[in-house]
Amino acid sequence: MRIALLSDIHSNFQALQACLRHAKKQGVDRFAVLGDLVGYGGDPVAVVERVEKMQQDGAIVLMGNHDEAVIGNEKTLNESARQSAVWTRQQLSPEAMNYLRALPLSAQLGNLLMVHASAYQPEKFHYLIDADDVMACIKAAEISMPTMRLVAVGHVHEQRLWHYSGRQTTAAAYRPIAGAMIDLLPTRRWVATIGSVGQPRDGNPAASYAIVDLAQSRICFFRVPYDHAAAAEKIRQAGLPDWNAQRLSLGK
Amino acid sequence: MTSNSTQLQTGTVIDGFTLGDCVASGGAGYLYDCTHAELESKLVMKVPRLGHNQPLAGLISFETECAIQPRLDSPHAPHVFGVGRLDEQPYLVMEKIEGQTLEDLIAQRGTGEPMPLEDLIEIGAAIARALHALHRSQVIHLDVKPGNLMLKADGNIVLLDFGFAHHAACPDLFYEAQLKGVGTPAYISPEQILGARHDARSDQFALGVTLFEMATGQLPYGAMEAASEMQQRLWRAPIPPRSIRADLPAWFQEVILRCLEVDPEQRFPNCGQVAWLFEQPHKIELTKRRQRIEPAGFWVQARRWWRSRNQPLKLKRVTNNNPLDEAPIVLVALDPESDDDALLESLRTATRRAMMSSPESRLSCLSIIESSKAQETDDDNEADRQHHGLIALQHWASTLHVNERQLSLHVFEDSDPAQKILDFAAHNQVDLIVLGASRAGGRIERVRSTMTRVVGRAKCSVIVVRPHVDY
Repeated sequence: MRIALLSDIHSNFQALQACLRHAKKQGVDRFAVLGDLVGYGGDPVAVVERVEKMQQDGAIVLMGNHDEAVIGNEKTLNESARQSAVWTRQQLSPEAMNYLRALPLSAQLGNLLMVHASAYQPEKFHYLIDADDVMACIKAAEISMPTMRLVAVGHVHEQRLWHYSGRQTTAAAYRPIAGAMIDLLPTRRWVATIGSVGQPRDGNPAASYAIVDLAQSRICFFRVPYDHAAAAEKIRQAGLPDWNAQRLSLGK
Repeated sequence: MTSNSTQLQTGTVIDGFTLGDCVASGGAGYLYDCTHAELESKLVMKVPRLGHNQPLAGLISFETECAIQPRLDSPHAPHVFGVGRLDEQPYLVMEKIEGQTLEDLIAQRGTGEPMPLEDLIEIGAAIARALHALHRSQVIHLDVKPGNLMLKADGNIVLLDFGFAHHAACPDLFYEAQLKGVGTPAYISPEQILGARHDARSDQFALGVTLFEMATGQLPYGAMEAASEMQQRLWRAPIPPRSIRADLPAWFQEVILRCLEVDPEQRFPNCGQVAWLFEQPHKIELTKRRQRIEPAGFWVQARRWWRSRNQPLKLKRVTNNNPLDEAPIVLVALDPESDDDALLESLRTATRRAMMSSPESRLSCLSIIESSKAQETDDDNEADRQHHGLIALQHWASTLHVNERQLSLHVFEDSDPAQKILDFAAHNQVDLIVLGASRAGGRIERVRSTMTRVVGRAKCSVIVVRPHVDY
């Protein structure tokens, strides 16, 4: 089974559409959205509608910290994210708010574990930045799912493939090359940070996502160009902080 | 995971593969002959010794082999037929390569009897071609040594053992585990000692050590084992091979010593260039390296040591600026005696442009006279035709402003020009072919078929050139 993993769409409808079109061309059996449907961007209504439709068609959808902020407490976010959370709340219908409220924090499929930020205390949304963060995630995932081969997460907005061999003291990171198929060797535990669909932050404005092949135990990371000028225009029209718009063309 | 510390019985069946005799065993594991009911090829199965009482590097090495080798589809690497599940029954089944390793070849000769120069050139070029082909498929071997180089009866080289290899599109498990100096101490490059695993020119260094050993029966740095001895490779000048073997040509020493430069930037840009030079040794730019006949003295070595302390080796990340692309081998095919002036001028412009990318590019000019057409000229014999062809080619090339050293000229008479161009390009691992388009009128059919066949079948890019026209 081939699953397209998308995360951190952040109300960027143009980027979401581009990734879905790309994934369909690659041939996938299923979609999974690993949280942060909203926040930052100017198109929350269209994005939530589209993702809800995907879920009706079999997609797995998880909750991210920005989704949580919109339905509840936005105080943990930084100023520009907080502003857009408050604005997003005003845009969404009660039905859409209820939809976000019902999203789960994690899901399992075969030997794949999916969560928005980290398998360690999923509700606290820890960032996977260094090897210690990743080891905490792996240890927690091993307890909840002993057969786990791969943990897929979003949240950090950069694509990395971490791997850990029980023989070594800690995990190591690999910066994947877009379009290259990588074998997930069974001798290791793997953690993929799949990057952000709607707000890449590695200097490359192209949207990020990944496809996992569960039968073959392989993962492939992708970068997809999209109309970021149109997405930026939506943000400006909404009167959201201008930096939210500017950063899309810079990939920052 | 099974630890596989014991040898398996002949006749054991694993996933349809029936084991034959154990043909080799060592610290890393066992190698068995094996067969499969549905496969005709001769096979070998490698079963590693893994498990917690075995060294970590052994596990990473086998993981690396299983990740990289099945991706290769190359005449220079054994084809893989089966990979066992690493967590259940780890094994790798691959084609059995018939031939002789260069290690055996060197051992057979013994130190008293050096390898003849013709053999050195032929085998040296074959290794360089195999490495260049591997590098072009994004793989760096990183353990090139005579024991891992199999010479087949047809003269081609196959590389064995990809346990230390690097693939540009795969995680590098050794690099990420921060293991330094992975490789065989006597052959390892200075940058590998520092932990760099992304530079294809590391294999060129090991090629230099291998050529040295084939030519002299000795190792340029000895069989170093201790880490402190390996650090010397960051500054110590190798013994000039001519101080051991006086009959070695100066150009051959030049090639070896340039491969053995400490700084990868000072080596040849890629192994394709080494192979190209073996075909035309007179084009090798001879530097001071060729003259050395005495090992470097104390003061020279002391100066090199001092310099290495003050200016440590800077390692460029070469993953994204591939030296393979920066120093291309270009082939231009033309017929200076029959092509019209406008086309010849356009070919010259296109060739000049293609050569502009790097002062290290190489250009082979091919003039192919079709055998049947050759009879139409006034010259009565082939030697005369060749001579006149070469003069015409030289004249055409003289206004290219390409350094003599970068240039080689060839005149062939052949009944099938397209095939000749394709064969030449394949043998010399050409990166770009420039040739003239078919002309309107005249022998249009024949010319067109040459052009379309080259465009259709070449393995590299082809630029088709037309004379300027007014629209």
